[in-house]
Amino acid sequence: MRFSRLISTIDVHAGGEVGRVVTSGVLGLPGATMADKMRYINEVDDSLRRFLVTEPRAAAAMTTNLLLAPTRPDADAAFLVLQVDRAHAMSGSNAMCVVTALLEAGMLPMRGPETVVRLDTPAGLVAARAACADGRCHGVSLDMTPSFAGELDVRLATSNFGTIVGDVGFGGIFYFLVDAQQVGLAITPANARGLVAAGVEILAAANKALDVRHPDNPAIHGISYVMFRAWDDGEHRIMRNATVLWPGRVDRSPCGTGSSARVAVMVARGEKKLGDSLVARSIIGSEFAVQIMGMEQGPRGPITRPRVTGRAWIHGMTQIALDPTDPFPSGFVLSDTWGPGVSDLAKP
Amino acid sequence: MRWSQTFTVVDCHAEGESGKVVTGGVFDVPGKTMFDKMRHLEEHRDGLRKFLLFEPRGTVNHNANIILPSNNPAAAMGFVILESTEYPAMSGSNTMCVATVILETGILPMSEPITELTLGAPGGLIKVTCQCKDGKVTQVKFTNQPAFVYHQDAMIEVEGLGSLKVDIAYGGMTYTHVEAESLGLALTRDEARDLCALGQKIKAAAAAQLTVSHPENPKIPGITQTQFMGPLRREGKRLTAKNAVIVSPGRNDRSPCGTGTSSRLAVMHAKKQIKQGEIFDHESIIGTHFISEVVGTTTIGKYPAIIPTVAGQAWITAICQFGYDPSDPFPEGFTLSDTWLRAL
Repeated sequence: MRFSRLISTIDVHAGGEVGRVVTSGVLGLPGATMADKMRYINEVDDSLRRFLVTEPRAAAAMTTNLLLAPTRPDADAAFLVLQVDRAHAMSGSNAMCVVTALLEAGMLPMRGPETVVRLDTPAGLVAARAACADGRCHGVSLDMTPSFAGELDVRLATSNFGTIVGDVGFGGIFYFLVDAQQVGLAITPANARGLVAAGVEILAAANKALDVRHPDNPAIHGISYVMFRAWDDGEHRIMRNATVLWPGRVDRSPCGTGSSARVAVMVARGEKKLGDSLVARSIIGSEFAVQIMGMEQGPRGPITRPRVTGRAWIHGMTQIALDPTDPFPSGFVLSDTWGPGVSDLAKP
Repeated sequence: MRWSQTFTVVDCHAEGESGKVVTGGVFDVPGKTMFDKMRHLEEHRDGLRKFLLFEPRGTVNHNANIILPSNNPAAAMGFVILESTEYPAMSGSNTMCVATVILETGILPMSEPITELTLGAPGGLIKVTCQCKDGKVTQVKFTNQPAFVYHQDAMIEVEGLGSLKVDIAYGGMTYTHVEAESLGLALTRDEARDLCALGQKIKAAAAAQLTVSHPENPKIPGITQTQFMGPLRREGKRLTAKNAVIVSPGRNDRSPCGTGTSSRLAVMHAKKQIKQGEIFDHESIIGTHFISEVVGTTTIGKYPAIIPTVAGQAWITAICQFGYDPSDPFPEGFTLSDTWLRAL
């Protein structure tokens, strides 16, 4: 057995959504800030990303997070979300996985009963509070990126789903939020494949029609995902979320950034207010708690500060090794398991 | 962090097809033969297969092999093959991965330039010839258990397609062979997703309408695979063709499929499309190759059979520890139809 490359990971999942955390083998990335490092991966050299996130080393329903030294003195660690289409600025479930790995593997000390870990991300600083006992993280609460509504009631023409009406929302990254009933599908496990077919088409249409940019953070632009939304209860306290990721699969978690975007849109519409508590449920029934911790008026409307709480579990440790004669050093994808969008991998 | 169970798994692929090898964490499994050991796992410990192959640790296109001591004095070692919906009697790509891992990690000694091994698969002894150079296994050629045709040019009714002509043959797993051109299929990469539902429908129809039973071991699973066959071409001295094998619950084999190549050779030999000793180069949907040939003939029960060899290469991609945290909400993993086609 011989390797020309060796990268070690701690493999974690938050409610079934896998966030692999790279703990060694990558010294760093060029760029002074996390936004610069994300830009480097997305615009200059994505060979490391492609090696890590494709077959045979990775699977479709998985994210690989690069754990890096923080670029700012008020952060404890930094991480970059690598997925098969590009590097993304933030992810709630992956932040939970990263915090759980940092603390349970002793990279940062656990201070019971609550340990604060400040994460440097391209979307800004995210403070995490981990409830720790017996060497385990029993829960991670994230103070999410200030979230807000973009354009509401956007009408999109699609080839197979007619006119879709949705909302643009920001929760660390941009979402196009669509009521699931518009595509005639309840958010249930049996409908996962159908939601993917609709989600990838709507995402492509949304990015063609809209030019979405963060007003203060030039690193963040474009709709990252479509999130289908529904309610599990008549009082509208239990959200059901199904985020569709490019090139075609569903988030197994209730989606932290998507929940933040969804809640921010409800605040903008006056449907939710400061102090409100909700539950977010995923397509497979995993749950996050979502609380509106802060709300202030911004120049373009209300800015919401959600706190998203969930739990993650370490399920593996991996040494990824590259044999110098491996025929797939940059990996490969195939539409059967990765989704219908593979022919246009970088462009949702 | 706390785990109550830890398995050491060497991750490997053979021409793109996953074949993880569990090298630690399972000491032995009760059973006289490797087939018995496989049945013991299936009947008493199926949770282990799901733990290894379902999410979050696995995905729909993963396979795992547990290496175990063999009671057969002719075998250096045995292995049980775990797949998404079944425990097959044999698998070519998994054999290549097992041989590569046990030699490249030194579980069994490697000699260069050739290491000869006999491994005990659940379906029988598999003789393996490994070309080795500088610590790397550069080719694994295995001699499969005999492959034979159950039904040649049989007609089945498939909902949405009407009547379809198929050949049913055994090569370690049991395949429904379909000429791709008869369905207007080119077996190019972009067809991969659409082939899955089609392949699942065809195999279900075949399994419902045609009977198969392995004459020497009726407990070997029946029709569980579909193989779309691209047209045969002669290129110089060798025959070549593409294929696409749809593995349950609905995804493509990334390799040209060892047992599928074996069963296809049985069909080709029966139809006098290939002679003993002629090379057949089989190309997968992602463009990887297995080199195969018929090296002998025999009979299995009433069926004329061929002895096939299939050769390819495997590469180790990772060394993993799979762990179980007692508070994990998914002790036996889970599946979802977006990537699995249907939940299991």
